[in-house]
Amino acid sequence: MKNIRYAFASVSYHKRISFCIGVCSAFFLFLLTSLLNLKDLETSLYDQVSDLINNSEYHSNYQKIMQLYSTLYLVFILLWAMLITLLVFISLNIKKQDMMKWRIMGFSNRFIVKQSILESIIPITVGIITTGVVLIVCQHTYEFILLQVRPLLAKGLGIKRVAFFSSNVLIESTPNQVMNSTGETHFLSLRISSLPIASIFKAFSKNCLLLLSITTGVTFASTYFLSRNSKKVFRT
Amino acid sequence: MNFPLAKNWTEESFKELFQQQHMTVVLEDQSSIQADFYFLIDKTFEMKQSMAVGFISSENTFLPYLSIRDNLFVGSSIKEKDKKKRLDDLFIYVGLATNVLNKSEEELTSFEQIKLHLVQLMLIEKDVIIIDDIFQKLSIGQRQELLPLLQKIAKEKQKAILVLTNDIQIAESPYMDKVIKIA
Repeated sequence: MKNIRYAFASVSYHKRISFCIGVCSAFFLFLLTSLLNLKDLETSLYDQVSDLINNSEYHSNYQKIMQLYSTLYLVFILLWAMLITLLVFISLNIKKQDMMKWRIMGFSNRFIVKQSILESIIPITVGIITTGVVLIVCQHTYEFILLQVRPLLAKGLGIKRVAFFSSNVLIESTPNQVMNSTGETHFLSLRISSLPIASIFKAFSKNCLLLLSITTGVTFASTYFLSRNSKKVFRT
Repeated sequence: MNFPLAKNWTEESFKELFQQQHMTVVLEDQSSIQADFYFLIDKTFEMKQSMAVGFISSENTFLPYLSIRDNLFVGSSIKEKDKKKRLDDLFIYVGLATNVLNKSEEELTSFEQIKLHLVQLMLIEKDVIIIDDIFQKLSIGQRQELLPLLQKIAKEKQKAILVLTNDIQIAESPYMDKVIKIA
């Protein structure tokens, strides 16, 4: 418990860098969760459409867009890893004197590494909580944003829109009129407007774990590297 | 930088430098003191002696984000209810007024800082105390007060104290039990 108290004191003392880490983690968590939820939306739509219509162009488009989402997801993770590495290095540089003081007070490298990891995780946890609260409170706005972004993103990624029905088929919304070539009326109901809270939660938790693991790994490696080379750390 | 202690370090060096109830002084060049001080920090960690060895640096080593009182108890397992009494006893022992706890880090004098570090090391029960060249910042009166205090701590609290200095007067003072000249 004392370690956590010291880590909180350090985080609030080094406000600026902690704030940067918190804001970046919240931003990336939102981006990554959005991407996973966009994939969920796409899958949900695809499942519903493929039950009704067998359109090969739509199928290939679906595969293409899912692949692009996955690539984008990986790119964002890579960007996050690079950004957090940079932020951790800046943070360790700022806290170099504090690390030296821990050493002089007789604490082991293991303790310093543990403390450093705690000090990185605390602002990220604050970022996670903030994002979680925003997603819960503004769930509808979040869904609306995703639905607005989805076609724009598909367009931006160069995915062509597919017409589900041939041009000679006429669909009307009123069942009383004779409409199509076979003389039958079809109602097409596709639900893409709501994203189950479970999907949001699943994507959110997955990304939380991912961000925390990457940060822990990066902080562990950089602090260990710096404290092992204590001559460089403490004598410059 | 030179590392005279590193150059001459053997398995026996630790025993030679640190003897319980003894004050040992290493007399060396100013340029070597800091390097040797940090060498000893590294060495004690390698030797898994980390929690038994405490250091007093010429620089302020209190964590800026903790209060002076919290800094003193970092690493100690003293219960909250016993803290005040322990602190009062040790403040009397080293000759410090308790109002120094109300001061900010910047307001502390070098002498007060050194005494507070001694209190800290006694609270966390270090067996070995390694002291950087802290005497330069002190007046003659303060040196005359600190040296007998260090000797008292070594003898009464059964600590091994090692002082690194380039000041021959400190090295040859009657309070030192052993002088190692590597200058």
